[in-house]
Amino acid sequence: MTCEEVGRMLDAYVDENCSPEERTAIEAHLHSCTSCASAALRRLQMKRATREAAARYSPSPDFRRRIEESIRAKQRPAHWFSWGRPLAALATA
Amino acid sequence: MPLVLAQPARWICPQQPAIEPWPDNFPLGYTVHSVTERAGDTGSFEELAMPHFARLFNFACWLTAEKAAAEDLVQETYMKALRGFSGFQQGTNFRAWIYRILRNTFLTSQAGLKNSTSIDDDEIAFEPSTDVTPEAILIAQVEQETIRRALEQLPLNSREVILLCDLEEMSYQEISQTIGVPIGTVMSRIARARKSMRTLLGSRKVATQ
Repeated sequence: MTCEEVGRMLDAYVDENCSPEERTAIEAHLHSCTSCASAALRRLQMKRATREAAARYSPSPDFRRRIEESIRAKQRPAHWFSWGRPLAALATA
Repeated sequence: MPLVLAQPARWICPQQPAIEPWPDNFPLGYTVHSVTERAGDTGSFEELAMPHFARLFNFACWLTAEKAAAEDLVQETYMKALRGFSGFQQGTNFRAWIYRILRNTFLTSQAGLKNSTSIDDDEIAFEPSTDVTPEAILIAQVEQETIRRALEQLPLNSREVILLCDLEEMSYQEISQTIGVPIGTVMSRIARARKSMRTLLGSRKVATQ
């Protein structure tokens, strides 16, 4: 692989989205090319730094509870207390 | 001696990981299976949806830039997802499915429409600096706040792919499913977003604020 080819694939390499064959070829190039290896390292650093910086906002426990309650309320069968059951019970009484 | 890169370790979880509380249980290097790698998602709505809660909220905050709006967005997402859950094909990728709902809900909201139509890559005002380079900033491990500011300044379509790729560690295929564009477009957007990040980090505007 040439430096240009590796440069085009560096994002996919750092993101682990290239094929095993591509990965092997890229790594072979990185072992012999300090310039491309430095570029790959910088991208990896950037990716990690972005990940750390972006994990920023946390939902409050209260908000989580509200969502869980909303889900359960919506999932509860609307007809669980309908006239059907009392009438059936009366009929069999 | 050439540099040898240490790739982040891949954590392969058989099911949706327990990811809360946030952010203590948010290890760097964590990777969920890609669409093709992972076993399909099966389970009740709550079992599938709640493990994504904290991350969806974080993603929503990055989209809306406002906590109250993010809460509204997440709530609407969960209610829409619950209503549409019968249409979710068990065994497919639930994460891409619910992120897509959140994203589409945001884009069709007033804030989303404004965000997606008023900002473009070309509109970022870059101020190149000769003495502050992105590399120097990163090597010196300059504060996360600088990177956050750069992220905030990215246009929406760049910010979302960076978040999905770097924070959520989605595969390109999963991102493609989430935002509804071909993988080639995902790759070009990621490349463009990172270029913008590098430029922003190298600019006085972000570095010295």
